Amino acid sequence: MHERSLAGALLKQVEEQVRALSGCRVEAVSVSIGEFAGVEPLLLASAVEELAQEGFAAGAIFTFAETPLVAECLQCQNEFRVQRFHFHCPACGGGRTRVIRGDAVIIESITLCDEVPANH
Amino acid sequence: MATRTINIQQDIQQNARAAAARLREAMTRRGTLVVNLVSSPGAGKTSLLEATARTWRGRRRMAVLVGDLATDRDARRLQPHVPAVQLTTGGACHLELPLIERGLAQLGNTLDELEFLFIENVGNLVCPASHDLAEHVRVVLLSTTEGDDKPGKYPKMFRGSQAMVISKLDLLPYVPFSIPAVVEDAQQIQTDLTVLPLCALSGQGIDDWCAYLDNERRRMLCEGESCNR
Repeated sequence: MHERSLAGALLKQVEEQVRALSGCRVEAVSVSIGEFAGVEPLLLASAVEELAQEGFAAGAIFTFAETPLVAECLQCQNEFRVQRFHFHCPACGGGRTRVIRGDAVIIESITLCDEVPANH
Repeated sequence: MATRTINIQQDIQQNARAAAARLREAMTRRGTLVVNLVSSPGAGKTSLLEATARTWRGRRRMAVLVGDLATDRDARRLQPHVPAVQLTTGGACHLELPLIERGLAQLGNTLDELEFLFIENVGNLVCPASHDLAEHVRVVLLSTTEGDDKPGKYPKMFRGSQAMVISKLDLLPYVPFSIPAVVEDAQQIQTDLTVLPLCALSGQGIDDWCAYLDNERRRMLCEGESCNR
């Protein structure tokens, strides 16, 4: 997936959230990148850092955490970490499984300063 | 300086996913099965669509949206047989929903009572895996000349597909490709994959492919409704 256009989408959504929260400066944004999201974390991080420089999020600290791919077995309800993209249940061997996390890029939280800046 | 941290938990693709779901629902209500064909370049997507159109020969109402970086070569191959709209992405290596919507607008009245809408995606096993085009069914094509070890290398694509067409069956005697091996590799990732080996040029396996499509459309029409089979 294209990390640069994703970075743009991410920043746009942070901006929307910030406007809705009517806070002032964005201090920090925490992002989790699922290992099955189709995104290379380093590329996304550097694209975000580059694009964020000129804009409402300039100076904000972005942290990126990679989150594991976890699936649920539809046969025995076992939750398991998917290893090497083998989606069969390690407990019962069943092939019918459902991804429950690790396939998306998620804005986890936004930290805003509470004070309205002088030139707001 | 006081700060506050707000919990957001927002999937950055949430809006795109919701828009795709809405369009898929609209296509279901219209009775149109949307099929997203994906593969590496040259695996045989256009040839398969030509063979499908030839086999059905007007007995099914189908149309195609073709995605490519450049040229309208594929659309021109299909237009003698079925309504086909070329979507040129410029530089983008995959189709996205807004371009599909533009294509649907170009189809205009053809959309009325359309039974099958095929989307021939840009030849690429990587990026299209992450973009929902409002399809009901995603079909991944893998040709016999590409090697039987590919599914494991492109897990997101194979996980997100409902069927795997093994194309260019006529070349099987000449290449070191094992159908059991590729099926096992793919089913480790997606156990529910329907496997459809075929040769678009000779017609081998095409009837099974067409039957699969008819069946998927029936399933789409029946899902969520009481349906007397």
